[in-house]
Amino acid sequence: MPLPVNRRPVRRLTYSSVLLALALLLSYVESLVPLPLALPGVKLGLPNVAIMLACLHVGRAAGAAVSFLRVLLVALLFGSAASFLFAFFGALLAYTVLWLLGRSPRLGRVGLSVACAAAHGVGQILAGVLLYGIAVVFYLPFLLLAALPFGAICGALLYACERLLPPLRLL
Amino acid sequence: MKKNGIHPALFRPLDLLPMLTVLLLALALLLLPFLLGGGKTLAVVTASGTVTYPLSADRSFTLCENGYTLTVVIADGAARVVETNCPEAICRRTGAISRVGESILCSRAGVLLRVEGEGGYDAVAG
Repeated sequence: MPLPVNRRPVRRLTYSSVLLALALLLSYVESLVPLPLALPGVKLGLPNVAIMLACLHVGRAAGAAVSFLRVLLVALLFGSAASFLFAFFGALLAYTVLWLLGRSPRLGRVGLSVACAAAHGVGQILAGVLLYGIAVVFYLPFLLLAALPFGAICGALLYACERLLPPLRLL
Repeated sequence: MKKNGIHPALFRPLDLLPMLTVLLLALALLLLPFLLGGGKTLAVVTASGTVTYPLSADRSFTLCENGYTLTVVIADGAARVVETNCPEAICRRTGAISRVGESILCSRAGVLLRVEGEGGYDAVAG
């Protein structure tokens, strides 16, 4: 039984804000984890758990806002113009996939997360090609391969959160 | 279990579709340069000039420079000197070259065989 209509906007704002803060925190936390692959752009993708929660349980527009604002804030706080470009294109493609596939009941969280992670990698390559030329495409297979385990981990974490959190009653 | 009208599942059979697609795409991209021969060429540099041959097409040819004869064979994406009338035969003993940047040099004949193309390493620092 969803919340009465007049209470939803406030609840959406509240949960979106909390999830955005979580996404920022997770961005920092995952930067502390040293990954053996010294490839640029290969990350655990922890903030995406928060973003997926926002998209799937608060609303697709709210999720888009959380995704974009996370990219913007991380770039302003810790990054550079170049890192913003990479993150922006990665998030853009990843969220497009999430928007299209997220509501499908036939896809499990692992598959969804892997698809989004792969799209994120493609987006980063796109940014790389714009900045550095076509040679960047060399990294694409490695990003795609990384998307499989790390996407699966995020999918599993997402599923765990969905099971443990109380219903948001927004959708 | 139902939450907000959503029935999340950890894994569904259809998940294999994106996962396998990603895997196959990655493998295809990795193997592509090897399947296409890599676009590498052999540059034969002599006093008369430079001739280039693609490494992907098997062939053999002879070079006569400065009184020395070298027989070069390109096979399986690599080039090597199989026969020479030079007593030192360093060129033959160099063996096969296939990676961009590798070269075979005969200073007596004034012949340089060098693999050209994209990529290749001059040095790799980890």
